[in-house]
Amino acid sequence: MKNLHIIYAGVFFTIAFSWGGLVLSSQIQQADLVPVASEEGGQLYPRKASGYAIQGKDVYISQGCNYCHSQQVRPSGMGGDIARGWGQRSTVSRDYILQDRVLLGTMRTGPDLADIGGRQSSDIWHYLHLFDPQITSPGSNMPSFRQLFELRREGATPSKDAIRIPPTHAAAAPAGYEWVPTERGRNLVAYLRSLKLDYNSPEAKLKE
Amino acid sequence: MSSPSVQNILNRNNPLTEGNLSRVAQIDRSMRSSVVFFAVMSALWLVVGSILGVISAIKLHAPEFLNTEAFTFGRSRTLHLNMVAYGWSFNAIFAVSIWLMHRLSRVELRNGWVPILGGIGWNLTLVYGMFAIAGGQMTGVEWLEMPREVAPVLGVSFLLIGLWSVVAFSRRQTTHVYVSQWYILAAMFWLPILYLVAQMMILWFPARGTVQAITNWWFGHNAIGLFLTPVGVASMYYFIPKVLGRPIHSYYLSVVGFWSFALFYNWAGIHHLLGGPVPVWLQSAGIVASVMMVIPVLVTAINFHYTTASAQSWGVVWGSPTLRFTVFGAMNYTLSSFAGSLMALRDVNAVTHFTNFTIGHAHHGMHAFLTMALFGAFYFILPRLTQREWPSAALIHLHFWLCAIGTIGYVVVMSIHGWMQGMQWNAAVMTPAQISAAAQPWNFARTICGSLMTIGHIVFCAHVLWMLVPRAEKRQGPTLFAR
Amino acid sequence: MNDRRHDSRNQPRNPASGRPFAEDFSDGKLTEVHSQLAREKEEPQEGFASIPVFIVFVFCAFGFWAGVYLTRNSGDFSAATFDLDAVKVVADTGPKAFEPDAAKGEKLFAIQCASCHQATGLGQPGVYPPLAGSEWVAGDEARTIKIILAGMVGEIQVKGVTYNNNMPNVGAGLKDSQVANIATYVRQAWGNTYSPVMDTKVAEVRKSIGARGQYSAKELLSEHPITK
Repeated sequence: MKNLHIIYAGVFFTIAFSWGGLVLSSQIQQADLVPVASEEGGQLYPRKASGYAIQGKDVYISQGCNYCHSQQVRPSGMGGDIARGWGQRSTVSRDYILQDRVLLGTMRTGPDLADIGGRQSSDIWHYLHLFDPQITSPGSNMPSFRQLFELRREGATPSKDAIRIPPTHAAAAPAGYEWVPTERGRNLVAYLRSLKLDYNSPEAKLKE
Repeated sequence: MSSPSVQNILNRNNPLTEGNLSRVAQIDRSMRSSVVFFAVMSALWLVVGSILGVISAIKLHAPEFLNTEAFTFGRSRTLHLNMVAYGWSFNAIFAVSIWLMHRLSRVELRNGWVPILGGIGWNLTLVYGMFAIAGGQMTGVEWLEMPREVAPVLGVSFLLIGLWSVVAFSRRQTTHVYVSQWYILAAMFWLPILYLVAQMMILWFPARGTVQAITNWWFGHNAIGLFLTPVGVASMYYFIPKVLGRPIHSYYLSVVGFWSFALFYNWAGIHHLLGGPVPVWLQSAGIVASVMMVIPVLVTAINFHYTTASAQSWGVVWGSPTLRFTVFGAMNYTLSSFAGSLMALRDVNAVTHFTNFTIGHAHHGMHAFLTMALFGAFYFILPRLTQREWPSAALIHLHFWLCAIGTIGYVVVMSIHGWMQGMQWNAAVMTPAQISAAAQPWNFARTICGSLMTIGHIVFCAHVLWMLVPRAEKRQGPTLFAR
Repeated sequence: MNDRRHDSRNQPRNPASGRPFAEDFSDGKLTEVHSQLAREKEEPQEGFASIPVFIVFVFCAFGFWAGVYLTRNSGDFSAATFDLDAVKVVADTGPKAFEPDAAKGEKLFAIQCASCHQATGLGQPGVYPPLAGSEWVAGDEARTIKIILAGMVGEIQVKGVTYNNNMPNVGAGLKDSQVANIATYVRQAWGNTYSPVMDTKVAEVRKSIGARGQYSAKELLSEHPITK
């Protein structure tokens, strides 16, 4: 090609075209999405996250959870997400508008977590699972996240937030000690329990 | 369209003419320090990045292996990606594009300290970024994991390096602009725009909701499609005709290939979000663009095929290290791109999305195509810059076979297992723990294939460093695979 | 092209024997040319073969497909369409009366319970106690509900074997109807033949135990002794 102006213009045009078509158009189309209530004066959905949950999200990101767990439910025509009970409906744009970092994920080494707070609301389950996934999900290839727990000397009575690891477990606390989640651990579990897809959205209704 | 010089086309063996020879020698000499700098940097990152890849692969079948916080899977995998992407492929592409651009423009590299300064800035910032990732300062945005403060330094460094290719082009001493130059020129313009927009819309002034994710994959896919791939294609467009001494088959096919590439690749990134919370029309646009990628890929493949076939010397293709690696890369460019188009179809994507199939595809493109093509370029470039021959044909042999078997094995293992994994998730019968238990033998095979590639990379890196060590006796004649 | 070339020559010349043209050296200095360059071919050129006709047909076919696909799957370019197969939402027919449904319970069991107790209900020997034929499942449905709602921890004897593990309060966040369905499934699967559980019963038990920690076997036995 000899006419370099055509190359320069074409190179610029192609990228401007795709940016305008994909990114800018979405920015415009989604600009007026706001949380809505399913009935007059009711709770607005999606909910605002609590302070603990927001801090827990930072832990989620810093541990790289999003590389094995997605946070999106595909419609029933695409994959087994809904059949698996990962959500009662597929996720839509509106579900993410209050998040300052969107963690849709691209890989499912483990299950989707868009509704993990609805599916597993028990904090005990989450602590046991993070301490050692083999306790709650034998055979899983998720690593343990021992860095979110600390071994503490036991007081006169076991502290309320101590994690009761089965005594046969290799990492069970020695006598006089107990495993307690650190602040990061507690925040992460608060975040996981806050992930719920339990409300109707104008774009997608719950199945039941 | 320039008028073809029939004599040039018919000139079969086409050696460098005497006058050009000395000119080219001057040009090569002017590029020596900067191109060798980027080549060495890329080889070092490649080794470290590959080792982290193997560590991550082992963690998938032995989750407690090296399970400290800094190397928990989420971080070691991220380190692997960032090291091989920004460390290996960017540095290697800087080396190859500087070299190709100056050679094709017939100009010397002036003020070589500028790209080297950019390179030092680039690589030191990457080191900082890697420590930040290991320390948990990740952003959570794929392909942009390094904390956002690296962006200004990386951006300026890139401009210092990339600008030099553009400067070389603007000072060109040739009247005709060769196809490789179009691709490199376009890549050097596209990447800064992509990076700037993505940094701004995701990390500095975050867009709302899933617009972030759309921007993320517009950037992530285009960083591959509009920067890494075009330079890889430019390198193949150069070395196949160069080593064979034949003209590229058809200028017209090159033009069609370039423009359809520029038009369709730009829109394809959205296929990373199929089935996700983005409006269905965007998904359909991404699917159409991904499928239309068949056109540029088919055209390029035909162009390469006829060029190679016209030489009627498959012995040269097999015997020259440069060509063997480059043609291996070219074949896998075609295969992986066709696979990518197929994977974008809704029904296929419903199975392959979120599984090892995608990861196999990523390695197909990034390793079997791009990395192998860049290896081929290095086998040509470095002897000319260092004025030394490659010390050992056996090491090149070893490098080729380790990487070729490793990468093909990896793609096959991941594709088969990824398909199984997708069926298992979709059938909703097995529990997640059962699915990961069933993956164990496949994950193990993946580690073996990854280790083969990594050993190959160590061989390559050692060979490069060995070549740079001053030696008394020089090897005479080219280092080829076969006599 | 402004490259100077000698077309008559088709072999790389030994650089030592040939004299380069003076005008190729801007600084007028002779440069030693190394052997790698001497064997190198000229920079690549472009041929001008025409585009094969079948490629044009392939392009047309792809272009046609793209147009058809985009029109049929555009979702009217609306920002509110996410699912092409979405069926129209059927009008709400009002609340339905609850009926224990072991099939729904089985699905929930697979998500909530099967990773430990297994889909077979047999648990894992020595680690997770069985539910099939377990005396803890038999008898008073309140015991089953309490275990699901609050969880259990510590030593427990099941079918003559001692276990010591930690069962989380998985039912705490589930709806009454969901807990009722799981309990019904557990009490009627794998050869168990105990009464189904109503959601009202779950609500009642949930209210009576309030927010509390996990049960120990001893505490639960004192509230609901096992009768042979």
